[in-house]
Amino acid sequence: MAGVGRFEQLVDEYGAKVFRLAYSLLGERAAAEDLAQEVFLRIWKGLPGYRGEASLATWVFAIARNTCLSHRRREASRRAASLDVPEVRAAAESLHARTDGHGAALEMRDLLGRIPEKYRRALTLFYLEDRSYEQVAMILDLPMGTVKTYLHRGKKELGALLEARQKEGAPLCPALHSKT
Amino acid sequence: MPCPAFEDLILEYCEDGLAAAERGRVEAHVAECPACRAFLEVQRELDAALREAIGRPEPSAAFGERILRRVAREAEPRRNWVPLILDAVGFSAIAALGSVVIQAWLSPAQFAWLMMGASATFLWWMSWRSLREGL
Repeated sequence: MAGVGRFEQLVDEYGAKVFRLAYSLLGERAAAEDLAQEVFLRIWKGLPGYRGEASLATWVFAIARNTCLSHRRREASRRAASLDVPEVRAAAESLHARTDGHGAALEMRDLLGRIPEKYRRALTLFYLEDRSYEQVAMILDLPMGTVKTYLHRGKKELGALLEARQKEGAPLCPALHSKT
Repeated sequence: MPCPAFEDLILEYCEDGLAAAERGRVEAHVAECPACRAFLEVQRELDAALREAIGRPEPSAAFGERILRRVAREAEPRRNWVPLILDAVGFSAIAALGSVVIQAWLSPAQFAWLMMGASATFLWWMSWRSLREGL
């Protein structure tokens, strides 16, 4: 297998980052690993055609982003179809009711789900990538200034949501609520 | 509400994204401004809450190995049954045609022996070829 050494290096270097990108999308470890495997399979197939026009990191993350977006589109249509079945919708609502409100982390994830996706993705990757603007900018192929803007807007929206919850009398993080 | 000029700077301060000079400017301002101090404290707690909520999961230990195994599987040449099937069809056609011609000169017993021998040869040849081509 020609190029296997080079491919192994890619897996070593980018494996965890691609996994975290998938995790930022799916929020579930096993599914994220499966999706990351799919990404690397595409990288393997595309490797002979890589001519070095873009940096290797840019090329790898472009494939990772495209694979993740395709996955999301597939999942969205599958979910839309399955939620049309009343029993499935009831089960999903019941699961939500059982898990909602248990623990600040869970609720914070719930709030994260309510902010625009571009902010959520930037925030999630920022914390997954050890709070590095550079890494998030590289993975999302965005200028660093845009990443900072998304992070700050995301945090402001989270702050507003926290405040709204406080007014509704459903505290999320008591320490945060007492100050917002 | 924090001072508008310091809002984003405080957010960046909490993210460890500021250079030393800017950090000093934020710290000096926060020391004097209660609204910005309160905002900074909220942002610190929000930062901690986000860290806890998102975490920093690592892929499993076998992750890299599984990728390499899957790629190795995909890289294997695809098994092609078509030539073998075509050979079998051709062999059978020739055998059928030959048997029609030959049975005119042989007794039924001799013909049966010949057919058994031909079938055994055919099976041996197909098995040998399948093994050789890894099918």
